[in-house]
Amino acid sequence: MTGIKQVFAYAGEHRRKLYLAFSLILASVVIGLIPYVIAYDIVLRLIQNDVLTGSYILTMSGLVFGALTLKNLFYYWGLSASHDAAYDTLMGMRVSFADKMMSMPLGEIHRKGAGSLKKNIVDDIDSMEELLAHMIPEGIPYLMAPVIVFTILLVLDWRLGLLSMGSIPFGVVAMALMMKIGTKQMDGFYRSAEKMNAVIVEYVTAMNIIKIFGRTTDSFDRYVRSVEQYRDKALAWRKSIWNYMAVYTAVLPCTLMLLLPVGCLLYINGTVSLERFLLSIMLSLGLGGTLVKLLDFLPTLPILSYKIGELEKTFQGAELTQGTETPEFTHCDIAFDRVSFGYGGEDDAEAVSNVSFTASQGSLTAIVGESGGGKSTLAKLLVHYWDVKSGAIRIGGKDIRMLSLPGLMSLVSYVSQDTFLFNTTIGENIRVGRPGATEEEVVRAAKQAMCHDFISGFENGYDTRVGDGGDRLSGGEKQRITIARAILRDAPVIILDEATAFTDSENEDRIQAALNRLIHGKTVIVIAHRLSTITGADNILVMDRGCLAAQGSHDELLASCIIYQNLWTSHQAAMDWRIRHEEVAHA
Amino acid sequence: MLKFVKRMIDFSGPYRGRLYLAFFYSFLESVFIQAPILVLLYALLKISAQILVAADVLFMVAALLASVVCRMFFRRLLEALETTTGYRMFADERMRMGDRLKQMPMGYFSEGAIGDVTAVITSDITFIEQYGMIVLARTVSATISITITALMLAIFDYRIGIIAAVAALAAFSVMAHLRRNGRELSPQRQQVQSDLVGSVLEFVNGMHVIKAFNLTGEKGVAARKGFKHFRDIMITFEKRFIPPFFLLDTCIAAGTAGVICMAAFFSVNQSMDAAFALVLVIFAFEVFVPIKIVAGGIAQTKVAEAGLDRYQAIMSAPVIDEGAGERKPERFDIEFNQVEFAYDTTPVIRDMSFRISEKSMTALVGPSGSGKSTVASLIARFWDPQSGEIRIGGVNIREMTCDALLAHISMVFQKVYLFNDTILNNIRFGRPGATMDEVVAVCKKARCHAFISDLEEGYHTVVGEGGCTLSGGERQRISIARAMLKDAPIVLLDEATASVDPDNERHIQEAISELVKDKTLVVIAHRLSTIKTADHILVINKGGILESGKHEDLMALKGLYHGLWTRRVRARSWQMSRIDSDERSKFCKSG
Repeated sequence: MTGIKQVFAYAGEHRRKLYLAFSLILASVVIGLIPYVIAYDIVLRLIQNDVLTGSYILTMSGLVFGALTLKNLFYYWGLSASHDAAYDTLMGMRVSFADKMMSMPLGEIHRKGAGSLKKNIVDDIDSMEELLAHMIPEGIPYLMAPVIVFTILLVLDWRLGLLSMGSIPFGVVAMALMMKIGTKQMDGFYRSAEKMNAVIVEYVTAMNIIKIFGRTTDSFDRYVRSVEQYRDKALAWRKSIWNYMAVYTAVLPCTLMLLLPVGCLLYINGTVSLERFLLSIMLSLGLGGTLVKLLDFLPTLPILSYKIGELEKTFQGAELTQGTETPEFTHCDIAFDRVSFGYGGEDDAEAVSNVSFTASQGSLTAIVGESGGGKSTLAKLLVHYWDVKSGAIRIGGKDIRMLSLPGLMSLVSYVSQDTFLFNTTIGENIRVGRPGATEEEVVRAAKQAMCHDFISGFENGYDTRVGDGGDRLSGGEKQRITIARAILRDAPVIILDEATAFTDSENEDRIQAALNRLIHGKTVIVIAHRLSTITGADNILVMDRGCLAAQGSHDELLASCIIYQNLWTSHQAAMDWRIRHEEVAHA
Repeated sequence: MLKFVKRMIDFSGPYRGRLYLAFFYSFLESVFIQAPILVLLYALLKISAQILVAADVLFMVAALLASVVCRMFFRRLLEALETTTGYRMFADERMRMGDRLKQMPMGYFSEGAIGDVTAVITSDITFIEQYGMIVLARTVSATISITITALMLAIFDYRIGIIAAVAALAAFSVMAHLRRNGRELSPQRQQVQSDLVGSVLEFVNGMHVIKAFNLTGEKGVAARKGFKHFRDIMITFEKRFIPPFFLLDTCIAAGTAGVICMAAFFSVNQSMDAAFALVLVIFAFEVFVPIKIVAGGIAQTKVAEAGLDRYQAIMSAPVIDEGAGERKPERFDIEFNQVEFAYDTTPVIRDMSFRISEKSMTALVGPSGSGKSTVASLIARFWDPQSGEIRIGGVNIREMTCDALLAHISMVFQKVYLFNDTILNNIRFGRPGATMDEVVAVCKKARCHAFISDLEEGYHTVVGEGGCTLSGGERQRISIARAMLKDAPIVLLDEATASVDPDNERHIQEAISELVKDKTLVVIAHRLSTIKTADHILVINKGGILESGKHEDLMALKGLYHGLWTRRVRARSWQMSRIDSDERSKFCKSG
């Protein structure tokens, strides 16, 4: 039942349509009993050998047809309303999860990955459609109809009423057991399904590796194992419930079980009239169809409830601490004040621990260090991908947690290797940097980012859609468009992943020129990999295992910091490296 | 409907027998579903004849109990048979699919195709496996019931038989219309579905841009619009099915009323036994139930059929033509002889001939899109050229099976892919059965033993998506260790372009040097250092070899190579600075 409650919550304002669907389908079920009452009358007359007149026959069969048609009319009207309600509910879920995603920390979204979030919002919710559109609005009236019929029967003759309910207890016990046991097994089943799908997707994605190492499915045993495990879990789940399913499927719809034989005895004894006996039998028969549908419906309830529960768990991420302020800034000095942060739980190793530094307005600060040292974590903390664990990050003296995200983002541009473009025109993609920018401003930014030339080369120029043959844009071209976007935005603080400069070896020089233009006159923080690019930085932060080991200018660090000296030597060596150094030398 | 049944039977292969058995059980179950009504009719006939006695009640109890127990029994058998057959059958199919995919040319695995294959595996097959079997058994048993009922009616009273048949035929023609309707909508439905996926993916992938550029309002609205569009279209689709379904039910209602009416009428004019008329009045409600069952399965059969279509399309995509012979090359020089290759109709490699001598190092250099990666892919037979020959040690690679060919080749890809498994298993992927000592030995050579040992769980740390976070450089070194463990005489190396940390970079370089010792090396080169030391450089442009020779020779030519080289040298000496506007204009001109 919790499943139904959860669904109702998402139906929101459309709940009235659900109620409408209930009432219509309930009406249809009740009207559906009328033909059985009519049949009762005919049967009674036939048994009593009454003479049936032609007009009686015509009236009665006309009534049967009329009642059936009316029943169908209400049913399909109700079904139509229920489809509205179902798709509204699915939409409600999608909107609600999309909203939740917007307030999730970006770091969390990256960790989950686009693939899995897409699966949640599209596939998982889709898989509920069948259940929602038919099961909920139909199921509830099917639950209520027996109650109504049994009440009528009880009023008619309490003994017959009780007898007609004879099959219910057995069915309900079996069903309750099925749900209890089945729900336990279901978790294992869905987990193994998820795992198998992940492995198969991996298999397809990594096909080049599978081929080059000559693996077949036989030897790629994770594939085999996950497929087998899924099969076994599925069978284990079904096995655990199929006895109960057989019992309630056979017993529950058999309303005649006690009613017929005991009713016959009562009739023979003369304690019940033929009329009442016959009428109760016909009403029980009329209930048969409803009970059969109920059987289809009930087992899906735990599945539905499970799926919604899983989705809610997924989107129950911690929300970011955000303020509402968008204050005017007089300066954009950046200060890290004893900042610590860890990705995992409380006792997990810290990715950044106790880091303090300042970067004054207009300065160039470089972060260097071995990978895993915490360089990019520092940068991402500044753009509020996550909340810091302790300490504070301030821009212009203001803690970034006090700022609204739009407020913070108006101050800071983060240029990374990720080159996401929206599926619209190139011009619009640049204009994202400042909505309302004129055509001229867009072109100027594009020129500065060294992308005007190739854009003009396209037939439709700035109106070329990115999605159409997105392959036409190389990685380096996409990168330069994102730089144009950042140039147009003109935020006072730029955070830059230096690797950006090397995403396209062929056009490195163009990207570099674009970057130089972007950082002109800004406060810049750069995550640096090639030390030679940042020897002129005002301040260099040397990160080592999450700690700030030293800071200073290139010359100062070369003189005093051993870690930096090692990095510099490695860098020099790497720039000089040749494959088969020695062999070639000997040759 | 019957088409679907036939397809599933054809599809079931070795499980065909079990499928027939399931149909049989399903039919028996439906017989026992009707049994209680027969008991009721027995009672009514006795009442009507006024000969009902207490002893009859005992018989009724026995008959009712027997019918319920029998139904339970067959339901249980059927349940077991349906689920075991479904899940086993599709487990086998998944294995078959895995093998089949491996034999397809790499060209098949473009971005879009990977999405399609994934969708088929994760949703289509799952649907058929869960619902296909159930619908199948129901449909078949309902069809049998319809036939038997029709026969019985015809035997007992042909007039009633005709009424029922007319109603049933009308219902079936409506059903045919329903199926057509479904077929027409199916492509549209897929289109809406993929639109939804597109808008969700854009929303999720672009989240950081949406947040950074404060587009939460605008893009939030766009996403909502996408959701609403999907809902609107789906509702119109669903509603198109409602009128025909109503019509179908009206046919059945008319049939039911007709049977009741005529039965009563015939009993009045004495042309039918009153007892039989009584039976018909009650049975009129049951006669058409199987038709409703068949109709109820239409929606699900449609989905299942569309899924089967997609699955079989994948399974029937052409596989790479496996050579017959197991010829083994004795040496490992590589030769291209007038090779032509095109993706679809776009030519990528044109009339290319060259020779790479054994244990030499050859660098492929050229602008992006020139075809240099394709050269490596052709050597590994990820694709077959349209004409010309590729020989290794004088043996045409088409005369080897792919497995035999690839046994001689190690390949390091630009994009490192690690499986979601332990580091040990990832490396052992290079040679299953390698001992721990061998794994550690290559890891030392590939410069990754040190950082692996530093991990808490060492070689048993799980990496890959959602696993432990390794840096790009560390991942690259693991992929090199993997290739090294394979120890093949030919190494194809696609250099990573992305820059890594200086320390890491040096480690990677050392690892590569170890990997290529005494091997025939073909490198798709992005780094200057790699290019300069090559024994031989092939400068590729627009699918052909434009220049070739050693670095010094090519520089002297002052051609394409010279241009590429000078630009890269200049890029390498880049200094990050906030230049003033004069210098900027200089940069703009040079670009």
